[in-house]
Amino acid sequence: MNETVSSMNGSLWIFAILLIVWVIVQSLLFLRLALKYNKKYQLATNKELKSAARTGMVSVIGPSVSVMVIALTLISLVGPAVTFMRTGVIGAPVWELMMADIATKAIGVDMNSPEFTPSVFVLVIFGMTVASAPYFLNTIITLKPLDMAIAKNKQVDKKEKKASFLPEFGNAAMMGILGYMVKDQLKNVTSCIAMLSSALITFAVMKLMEKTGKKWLGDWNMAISILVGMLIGQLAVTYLG
Amino acid sequence: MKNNSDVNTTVDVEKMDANEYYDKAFMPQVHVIGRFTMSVAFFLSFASVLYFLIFKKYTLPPANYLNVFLAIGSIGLGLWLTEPLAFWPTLGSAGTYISYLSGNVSGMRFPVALNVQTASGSDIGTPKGQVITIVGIVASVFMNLIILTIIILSGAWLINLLPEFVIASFAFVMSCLCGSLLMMRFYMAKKKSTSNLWRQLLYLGISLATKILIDTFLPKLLTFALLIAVGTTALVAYLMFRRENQQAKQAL
Repeated sequence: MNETVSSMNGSLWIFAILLIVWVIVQSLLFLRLALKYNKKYQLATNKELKSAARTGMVSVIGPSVSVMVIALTLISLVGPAVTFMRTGVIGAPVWELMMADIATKAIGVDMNSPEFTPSVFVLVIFGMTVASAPYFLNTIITLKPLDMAIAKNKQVDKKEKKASFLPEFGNAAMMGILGYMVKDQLKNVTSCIAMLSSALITFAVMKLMEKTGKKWLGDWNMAISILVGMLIGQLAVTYLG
Repeated sequence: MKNNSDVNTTVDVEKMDANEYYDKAFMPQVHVIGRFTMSVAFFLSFASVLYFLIFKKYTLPPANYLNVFLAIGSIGLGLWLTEPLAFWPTLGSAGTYISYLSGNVSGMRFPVALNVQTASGSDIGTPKGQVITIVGIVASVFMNLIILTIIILSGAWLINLLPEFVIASFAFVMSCLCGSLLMMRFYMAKKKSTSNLWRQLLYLGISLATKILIDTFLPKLLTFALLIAVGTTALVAYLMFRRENQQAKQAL
């Protein structure tokens, strides 16, 4: 970490904490809304809610730690406060690293040179912020009209007694994202081995869950599959070279 | 019980069934919370920059900020416009608001949403699917923040405790994630019917083919590729849906 960064790190913590607190506030507001709605109509049982919460928690352990491995590079460049701010609020370290790099290149200053002044550091933070803030605007503008269109569509379908396309739409969109993501993983043999192993473990856990009736296994499925799959992938690297 | 005459608006809400309440009360509230929190977040995210510019005078000639903005915009524009729309059919509106504030959408929020919806057999368009997805995503946000805080505060040493082999293996997280999610979708589809499984495979193939085409022949469209892939898949799904409906009508 260079001197400029460490001298500004202290005040940056305040802003980082403010933002993270805001993330928590938003999550709590949505959680309260969902639970209130659920209580009123008993949509999901307590068991189902707990299972969803557990799935959410354990499934991100692998991805979270993997993100932090990359975040270490980010810490060494922009310090812990900015890393905390940029990784906890919209952002993934890879994207932030890229943006920091673009910002410094745009004015031709190296991050480890004496020219990396406080002003340049602020420009870098500006770059990282400007790279994600438009996403906020997008959601503010587009999501409500989208939902209104869906609600209207539902009414029309109901009136004309037509089957709704919505469930199939969600399904197709989900597979669309998966197809896109899978393409990027077909880059080499070891990635394919990791992907295949993880799929097989997922399959085995689901079979086991069905046989034993132990539903909690399902909540851990993704976490286990990722952890074992990635180790198998790395074994493949070691042995296949 | 309250008397009907003295609380007019709440009476209406009381009488609604879950679906009506969903459209008339739940979703509007989602957007109130979402729009408010995202607007505040927008300003909060620039707060540190403004503080240093205004109070500390750490300024540079204005052209620099424009240059950085343009350089980043040339990469970001396509993603800013299209990415949230591509994830929205899976995350739902509440999920999308949360995901685009807390970040890590493809590595954490999308997988969790898919996972809990598949496990509970309820999609995002249903009241139950919404509730379960919000609970799952919120839990993932908290867990991620906990891990983030622990590792940042402990510095590098916690990560360095892990053997080299394990650290290197984290490069495979996304591959494994894809494998696991695919298998969940396939497994549950097969449980319904074999034709359902074939349909999932078809969707996957269409999206995959679209992405390969863009990567190889139209690299300029790369930042729009996610929405194009999702859109193409949804379009094919719609055409099939319409044809099946017509066939069903004719059979009557």
